[in-house]
Amino acid sequence: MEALIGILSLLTLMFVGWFWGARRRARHRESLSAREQALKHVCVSNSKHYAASPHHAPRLINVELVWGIDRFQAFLGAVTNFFGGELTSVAEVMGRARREALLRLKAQAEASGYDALANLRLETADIGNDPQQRDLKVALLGSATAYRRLRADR
Amino acid sequence: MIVVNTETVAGYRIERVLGLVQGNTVRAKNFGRDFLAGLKNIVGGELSEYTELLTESRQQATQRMLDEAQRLGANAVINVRYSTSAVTAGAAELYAYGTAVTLIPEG
Repeated sequence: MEALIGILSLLTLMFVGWFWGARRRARHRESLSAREQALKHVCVSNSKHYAASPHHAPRLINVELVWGIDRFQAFLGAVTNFFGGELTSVAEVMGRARREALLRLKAQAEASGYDALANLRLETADIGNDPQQRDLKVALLGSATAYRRLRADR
Repeated sequence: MIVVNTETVAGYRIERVLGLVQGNTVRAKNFGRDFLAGLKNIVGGELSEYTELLTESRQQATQRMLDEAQRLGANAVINVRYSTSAVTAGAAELYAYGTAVTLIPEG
């Protein structure tokens, strides 16, 4: 009886994760595309060297993001993990989380009057995950130097 | 104070390097936030409770680094880097470090 309740609970969580998770993922993809289009004028590089206007002092900007992977995708990942191979569901979530972090950096830069980012660093953070791996999540730390480009580069 | 993660600052040159400055903080998740995040994690998406925790940690570590730079008499910190490490299952350290310098305008 207990085993049955356990199985039913797991299936319910997976269904909820699949149904609501799919809708959230679709909405997030649309939001990412729209914001990427709106912020495409903000130039990004991971180069340490940049040609900046001397009239606007550059500035460090940061972003932090913790993104959860829904139960259904976590289950798919566990199945793949058992048989081996690429965890495409987890990779897709990590890709979207990075796009979100980059967009927040761009938005911060634009809000402060800058139009470019140099020395972009996007790293995963170790925040002490659940040792039983029930909840999968990715933590990102991003930083970049925001600056105004020289007139000739715009 | 000018703070950048690059080695140079456009429009300025380094007059003097004052040394490495650093700041850190170790934070633990609280039960309430952990519980809410666990519920949200069923459907995936941003776990804003943890994002806020990371933001507070980063701000505190950065401020401690800048306080040390100020004590040295710096007007800028360049080459800022961040690093994290899990201390236990429920706590993590965020470490910020950079080079404190005095900058003077070029030209």
